[in-house]
Amino acid sequence: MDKIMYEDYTVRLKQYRPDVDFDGLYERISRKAGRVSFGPMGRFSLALAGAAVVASIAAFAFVSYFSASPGELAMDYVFGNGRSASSPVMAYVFSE
Amino acid sequence: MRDSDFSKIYSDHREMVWKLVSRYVSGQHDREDLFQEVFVRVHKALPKFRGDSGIGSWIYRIAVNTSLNHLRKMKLRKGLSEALGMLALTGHQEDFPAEQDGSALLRPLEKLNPRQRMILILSDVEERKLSEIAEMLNMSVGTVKSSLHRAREIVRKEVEKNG
Repeated sequence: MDKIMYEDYTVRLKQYRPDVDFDGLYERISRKAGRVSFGPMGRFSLALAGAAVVASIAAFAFVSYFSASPGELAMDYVFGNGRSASSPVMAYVFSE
Repeated sequence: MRDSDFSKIYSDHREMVWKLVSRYVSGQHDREDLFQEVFVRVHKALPKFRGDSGIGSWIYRIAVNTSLNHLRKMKLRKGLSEALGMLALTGHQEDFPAEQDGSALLRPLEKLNPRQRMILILSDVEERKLSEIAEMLNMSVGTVKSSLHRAREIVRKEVEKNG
């Protein structure tokens, strides 16, 4: 009798399986393991943002190297560089 | 290691680990904590995995050892709290009464010490061989056999008592 009851108990244990949110736990494990988990769209967005930052830095470096400094470019735009009256300030001066 | 590697390992073995931890500890919160701890350990140890055994056996072994340590820590914490008369510090088990999450079933197992509980689960629920259990727990087969015999006696009495 004891044996049957014990065996019945182990059968119930074998069938016992509480519900669990495996995806939620995966996120927790990823965070705890020191990594941030991104989905496919998240990874794509991250790659796109990274590429945009790299492209901006490259463009800035290119302009800085082959042209005047950003400060000089700004001054040229506002006051003109002496060769044209296309800047807003100089256009105003010439219009007077 | 790429994210996708770990993700695949997780998907392939999560059910096996969940079954083990959910029979070993009561309370959803504790189970989830233990489950999480197992996979964080797997993640950390994965670069050192040499492939001497199958990855499933390797993860299972980590799950068994992490569970044993988890329960020992919990028992220690509970004992300390009871000694201090501060039951509020005993952890999450009290937050999830056994009846609420179906783990009243596990009550007879709570009469066993962590090692006896693991041996009984591995042998009579997971149907692992005694030699395999002995190797996993770093014990002799004879010790496993006697612990199992004692554990069965205790649980049998509990089952009988509670109907």
